[in-house]
Amino acid sequence: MSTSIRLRIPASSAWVVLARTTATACCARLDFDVERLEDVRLAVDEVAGLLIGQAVPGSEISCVFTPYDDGRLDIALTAATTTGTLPQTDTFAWAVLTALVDDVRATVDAAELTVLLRTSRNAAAPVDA
Amino acid sequence: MTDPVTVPVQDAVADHVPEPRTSSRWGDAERGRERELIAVMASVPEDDPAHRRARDELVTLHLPLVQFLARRFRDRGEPLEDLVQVGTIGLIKAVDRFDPQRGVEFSTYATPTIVGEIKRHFRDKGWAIRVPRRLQELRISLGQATAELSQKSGRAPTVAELATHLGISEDEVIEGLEGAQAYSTTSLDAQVGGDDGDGAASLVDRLGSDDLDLEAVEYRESLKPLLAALPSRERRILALRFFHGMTQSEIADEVGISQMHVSRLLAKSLATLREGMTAED
Repeated sequence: MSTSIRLRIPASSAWVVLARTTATACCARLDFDVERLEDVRLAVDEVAGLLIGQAVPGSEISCVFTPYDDGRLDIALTAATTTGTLPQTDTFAWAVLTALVDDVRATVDAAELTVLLRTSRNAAAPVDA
Repeated sequence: MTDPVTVPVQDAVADHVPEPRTSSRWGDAERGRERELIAVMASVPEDDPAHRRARDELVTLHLPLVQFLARRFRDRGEPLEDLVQVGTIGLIKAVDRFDPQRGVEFSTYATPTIVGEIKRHFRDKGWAIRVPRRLQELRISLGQATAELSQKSGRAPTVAELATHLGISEDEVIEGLEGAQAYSTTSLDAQVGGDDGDGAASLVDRLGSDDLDLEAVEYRESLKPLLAALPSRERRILALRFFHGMTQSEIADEVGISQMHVSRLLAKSLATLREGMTAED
């Protein structure tokens, strides 16, 4: 069983704070440690920045936060983009995203770009641990 | 304006901040030298190279005092090395303004000038966006609590643990974390563009050799100038986090600042890079 929290914000950096704070609250609810939580916040910032850069002027970003009982958290951010293409994955921004969350993927549907972040309370063990 | 001084400030504040001066180390020899230098500065005209040499040496001689004073402000959310830098500006001002005729010891005269400069730094740079005092204090409490709880349990605390520890609600903790972000948003703006000796090339080179997976990433061209504009410590933190896969806590240990501070610096650096990339498109 899971509940989703939905939020729509103008595609403008001024309102990203709301997505970030909602993500924070979800992480808190799932008992993430603050380090993991801060990573999620950075990831939300990064995705929002990516979407805002391509969003149709005056459009909105739809944010869906889905916390699961097992400590998993999915965050899907969607925006109507001017290009309707997938983001490049050989970019610094994408490298940053993959380092911050367990999984990140992008899908395009009718010129709407969705970036899905998946993370969880129990981080995968660091490779070099 | 204060003239630049050829003092190895960078060396002094980089990785090995010397121990603060103690009475045993600050002996008669140093005190005697201090008097000589002050006498030279008072008697030799300013355009004489000897005047400049005395000024430089006097500043160098008192760098440990700056470090000692800066440490008193170290837990207030600004990096120690920044405090040492601004404190050194205060020291230079003190050296230039000191009047031996007044009959006070130089260190007695310099201390309030150095402390004043450090306090001014907090006032000017620290909270340029007005953050309510309550949030400022909350942020500081959160930083201390995070460090304390991390120490105890060997991992970063959760929001619930922080709330219990501080006797506040989880909502307040969340609010405080957001306040911390607002703070970082400004504190780094002031530093952007600083050139501190080691250019971005060294980082990019290091990245390339350390993480071959990222060879193809576009950062090499478009990111290079943006990285170059970041302060060296921020570049290092970015590299450690995203190219060496270190956690924020590990970076905090490595760099000698708090995990919360690492988080803020990362957020700000990424925002700066993002803005730069967008502007370029």
